[in-house]
Order: sequence, then structure tokens, then C-alpha cells
Amino acid sequence: MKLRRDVFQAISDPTRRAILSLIALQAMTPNALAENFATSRQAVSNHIKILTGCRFIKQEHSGREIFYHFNPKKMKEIAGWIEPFRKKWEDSFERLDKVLSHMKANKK
Amino acid sequence: MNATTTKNQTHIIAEPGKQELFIIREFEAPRGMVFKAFSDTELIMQWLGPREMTMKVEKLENKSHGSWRFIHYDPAGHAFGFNGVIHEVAEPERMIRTFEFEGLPEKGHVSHEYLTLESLPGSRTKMTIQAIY
Repeated sequence: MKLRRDVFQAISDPTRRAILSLIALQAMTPNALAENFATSRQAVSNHIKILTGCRFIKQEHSGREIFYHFNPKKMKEIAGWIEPFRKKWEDSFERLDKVLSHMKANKK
Repeated sequence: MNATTTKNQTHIIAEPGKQELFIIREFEAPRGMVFKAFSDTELIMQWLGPREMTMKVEKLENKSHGSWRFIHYDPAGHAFGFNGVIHEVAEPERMIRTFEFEGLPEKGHVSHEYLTLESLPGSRTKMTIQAIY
């Protein structure tokens, strides 16, 4: 299977969700970030690669250090994906409301 | 908005990392009636499909071990087929079915749906659809 780099792949893993929660609070260096996890630095670094690959996090250089920043626009992509689906159902259920009120009227 | 009735909201709950979602909605009708609106071909055609499409019920065997197939046509005449098998119909509280969109590039993306209807006081009904992917 082709490796997908999208927001849904980003949030499909609990460690990546934890990374996102941490850097949403403040920008962090790779070392500071890795200290929060029991897994190897290499494993954390792979997760970061996926998160930067789909632009959920951005890296910025400050002197010799790299800082990872959270990109809130990507959260909106997740919310935006579900919206047309919700609208479709809302629209159908409003018609169902009418069907039900006809049924009630005809029963009497 | 009408002073005596407030609009029933559609809630969709999809938690990140979980292969399931919930669609929850309440209706101002008794459970038996809501069940009928979900199982009668003539009634389903009046509400289920997207507004801009016409809907054809090719098959709907509303019983345990039955199957279903609906086709929606857009204004240009393109057909979008959906089908599934019906595992259990327990009137008036539950239906268990599978759902597959025929237009996907590969087969096997079937979701499993549990439709549950609960009676609420005042002849109202709460519907919950749990879809597992």
C-alpha cells in the first residue's frame, strides 16, 4: 500500500496524538519532546516525520536548536471532513420528520 | 422557530483513532412509527436519499438474513449504487446491517451498522446508528 501522508494518518496513532497535544501547548525541541515518551528517540523521530510530512507540525530553527510548532489549520481539515456528512444526515432527518408527521396525521 | 417545538439536532460523534462513528437523533413520533419509516420502501424513498438525487429501491428484504440495494441517480443520470446484507431485524428496536458503496475503486470497504431505536417519554423516539469501519 502507498504511504499516505494526511491528517487522518497523523491522528491514527496514540503517540502522535500525544505529541500533538504537547506541542499544541508550546513549541518544543526534539529532545524535550522525546523525554515525555518511554519509547526510543528513533520511534518518536519517526512519528515526527509523519506529522511534518502531512504539515501537522512545522519545524523552525532557533540558533542551533530545532523547535516543532503546531499547525492548527490541520485540525480544521478534520472538522471540515465530517461537516458535509453531518449536513446530509440533517437534511434527510428533516424530511423524515415530515414523513413522520404525515404518518401521525393519517393515523387519526 | 416555533415556541412549542425545538428542532431535534443531529449529533455525529467520531473520536479520533476509532474505527466507528455514531449518528444520534430524536424524533417526535412513537418508536413503531419510526421503525416503519426506516423499513417501508415507499416511506424510505421519501426521506433517505440526498435531496438532489432520485432514489430507486432495487431490493429491500427487511428480515434477518435478507439483503438490500439502493441506487441514487444524479440529475445527469449517473447512478450510485449501495448495497448490504441484513443480519437482524428485531422490530421495533433494532436493525443490524452492512453498508457498501459500489463506486469505490476497490472492494471490501464495508461498514457494519447497528440501528437502535429507544422509546422516550411523550411518544418520542431516540435513534442511534453505530457504524463500524
